[in-house]
Amino acid sequence: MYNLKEKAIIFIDGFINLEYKHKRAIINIYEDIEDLFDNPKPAYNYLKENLNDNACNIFKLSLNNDYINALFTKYQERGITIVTEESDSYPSRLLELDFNPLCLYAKGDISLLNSKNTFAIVGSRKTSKVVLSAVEDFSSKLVNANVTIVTGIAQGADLSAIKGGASSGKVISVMASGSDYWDLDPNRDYVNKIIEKGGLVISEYSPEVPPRAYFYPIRNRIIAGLCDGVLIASGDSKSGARHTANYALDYGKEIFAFPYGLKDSGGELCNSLIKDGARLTETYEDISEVMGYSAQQESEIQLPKEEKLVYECIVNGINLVDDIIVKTNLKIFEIMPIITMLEIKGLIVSSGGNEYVKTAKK
Amino acid sequence: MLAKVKSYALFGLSGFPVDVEVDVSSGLVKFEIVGLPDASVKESKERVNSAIKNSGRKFPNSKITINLAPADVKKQGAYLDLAIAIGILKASLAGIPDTAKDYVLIGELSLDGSLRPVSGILPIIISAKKDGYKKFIIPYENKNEASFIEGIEVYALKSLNEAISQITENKFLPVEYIDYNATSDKNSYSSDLKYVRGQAFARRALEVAVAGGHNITFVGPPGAGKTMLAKCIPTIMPDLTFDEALETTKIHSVSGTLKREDGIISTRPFMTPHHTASAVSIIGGGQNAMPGIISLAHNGVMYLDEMPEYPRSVLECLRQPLEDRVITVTRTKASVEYPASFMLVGSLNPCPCGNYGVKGKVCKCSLASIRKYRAKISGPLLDRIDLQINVDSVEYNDLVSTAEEESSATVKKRVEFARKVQCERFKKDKIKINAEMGEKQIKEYCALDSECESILKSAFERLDLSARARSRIIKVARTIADLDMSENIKPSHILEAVGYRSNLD
Repeated sequence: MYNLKEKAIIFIDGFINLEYKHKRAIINIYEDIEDLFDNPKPAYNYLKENLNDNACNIFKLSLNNDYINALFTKYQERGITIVTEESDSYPSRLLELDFNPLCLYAKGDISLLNSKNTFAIVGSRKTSKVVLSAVEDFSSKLVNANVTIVTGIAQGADLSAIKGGASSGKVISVMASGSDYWDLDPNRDYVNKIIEKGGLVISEYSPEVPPRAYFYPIRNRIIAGLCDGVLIASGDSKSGARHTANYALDYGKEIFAFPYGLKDSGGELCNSLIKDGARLTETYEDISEVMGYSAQQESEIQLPKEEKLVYECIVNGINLVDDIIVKTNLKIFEIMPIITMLEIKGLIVSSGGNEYVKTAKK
Repeated sequence: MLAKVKSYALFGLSGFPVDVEVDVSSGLVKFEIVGLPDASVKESKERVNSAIKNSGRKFPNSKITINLAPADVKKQGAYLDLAIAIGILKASLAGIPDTAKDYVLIGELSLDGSLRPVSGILPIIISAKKDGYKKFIIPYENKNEASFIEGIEVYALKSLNEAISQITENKFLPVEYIDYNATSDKNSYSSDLKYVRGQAFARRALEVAVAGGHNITFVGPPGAGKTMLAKCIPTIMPDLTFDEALETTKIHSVSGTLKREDGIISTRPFMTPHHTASAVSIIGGGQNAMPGIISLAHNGVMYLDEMPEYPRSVLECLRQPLEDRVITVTRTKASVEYPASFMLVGSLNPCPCGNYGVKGKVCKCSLASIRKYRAKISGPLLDRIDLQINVDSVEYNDLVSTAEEESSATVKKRVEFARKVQCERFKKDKIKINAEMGEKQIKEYCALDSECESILKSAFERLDLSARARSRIIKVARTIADLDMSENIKPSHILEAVGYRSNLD
């Protein structure tokens, strides 16, 4: 199933207490990493010199068939496919990174890793409903244009991107913990949904590694690395989306960002990115034209008379339920069903309290 | 010689008869009370002694034995003072006629011989009337409480001497009976919906909530007027019927929170326990299993301001009474069932800082702290809160506008109509309001046609509703249909009901 090179890398990556730089150094000692099994001396020496005897002994004791077989059985039992940097299915986009992950532990369809078009959507967890509805809309249009969506799994923009695209099976979610902990994530339902629908969930951490706060910025380099372009949906000055944007900048990817108004909270990052040259994004076309994705037709929506009346109010900036009543002369119990209907149709969304605004949908 | 007079003591929400038997015989001077008296009854020895002397009468210098029958039930409170005093005087041949046994004697004595008010007069009189007693002597200050009971003679007197002259000469007139239905202060609330500016959405939600007896929570930033809205809820609830008023008054009478001048509680109670309140004070308890806030709010509203600030344990206690509408308070000395049919109204901020999702404000809370804040209200408790609505802060212009808003009285008429429809519908069930519907009744009375079903389905898919919201939405839709005088639930009703959700779960 795995060739010797892959096995060697998976074996080295299996030491969860060994730092990335040491793993990388051991791999670099060998011209061909599969020699590790025949000639482990250089690896022992490296560990002895740079770490301690203990680390070397553990490595020595582990390097036998029983341990290695057990390791692979363990991964197999968990239903994990491992893609190493020596594998054919390893995403070519990641090979260009300075600190590319040695292994990707994956559940789902690994062919997505080398999709022709990939686009990342990230944002902070506290994102307004209006922005979320736009993210969902863009995401569904992107997958329709045969683009694979790359994102995380956090509440907010990530989840909306998943919601918009998951049913097509073209979503890659990058996790910041080993697969044993995916089931403990607050949004585990979405993990399962992605896998079920034919998407992909990956992590560079082997299954037993628990999530750590500092993994998230590190994880973001994979998101930035996997995509051709990234949309920053929201984020304040401290948001983790900033890391993704910075990595994407380093890797020379296209950066898109939503513009935010003066009074709006949660958009400092987006605005500062736009100031620095990110592409101001309001519609799907703003992305598709730059990235060369196919345009998506939208059918004009036909609304019944009263729904149209209320919808036009909202489009024209009369957003509060109380004000709509004054404007339309409809009773509250007539307006409420209409508003819910428009919400269900995805045309409007609550922007907090009883205030509604139109979505990106036309 | 031996004398026997009648009194009553209180157990839970009802009185039980106590025969006060007094034996005065020659022997060593001694004063003994037997028959499981508690401390306050035992102390009555001293009060009675002084009261009799200070009323200008002679306290017998003999051996006095008092038995409180039935002897196996613990008696508490100072209800028995008057009966003990009259009994002693009668047994010591001080000229009390046999007519004394026609009266039920209730009252605490002061050292100067005057009668002091006691709590729990109303439940005692109701129980005694049921047992066939017609004549009562009670403290003057408890007069109002007793005046709503028909077909009895209640003498509200000020002192031991007055009580004696009533027994000997029938000197006083009984308390005048007041017909509850003729009293006009059933609407004497200080709040009114017409003072609530704007908030059309919240007003409508209130109407729906009250019409179906649904519990409701307001989610909104500080200063949005959540408390003001909550205070309007009793004003649009149907008037208390006499039986409801009696039940509520009984509870307040027992717990001693009844205002003397009110007599009977004719307005719906509105209880607002502070968030530092203990579970016992809200549910009921204490040594003698006294009623808690939820029982005091019986037939009215319990308003929990800043709901997540209440200890989780306290909130969880509410689940069972919200379901059963009664609470059984059990302690070593007593186990009492109190009615607790109240409407739960809660308010909470969208997040600990109050700005989450509020336009133009920046929320500084972390997502984890918001989640923690909201998780204080557990899923099972949320299941019992049918409407969860957002309340906006009101703009200054709305506050000063002079436009007349709909008054509580107008809304109340519609609510009363919807309640009538529900009464009719649930005739053969044991429930009265839509909120009490279980799965069985939902199936029976809330049939959805295919159009409604498909709308509900798409609402669930599009709007991320949790599965547990389904029956809540259907119940609320039923109420909206009732307000709309519609026999069946129509799509617009479902859509409106979906609008009264928030994203708490």
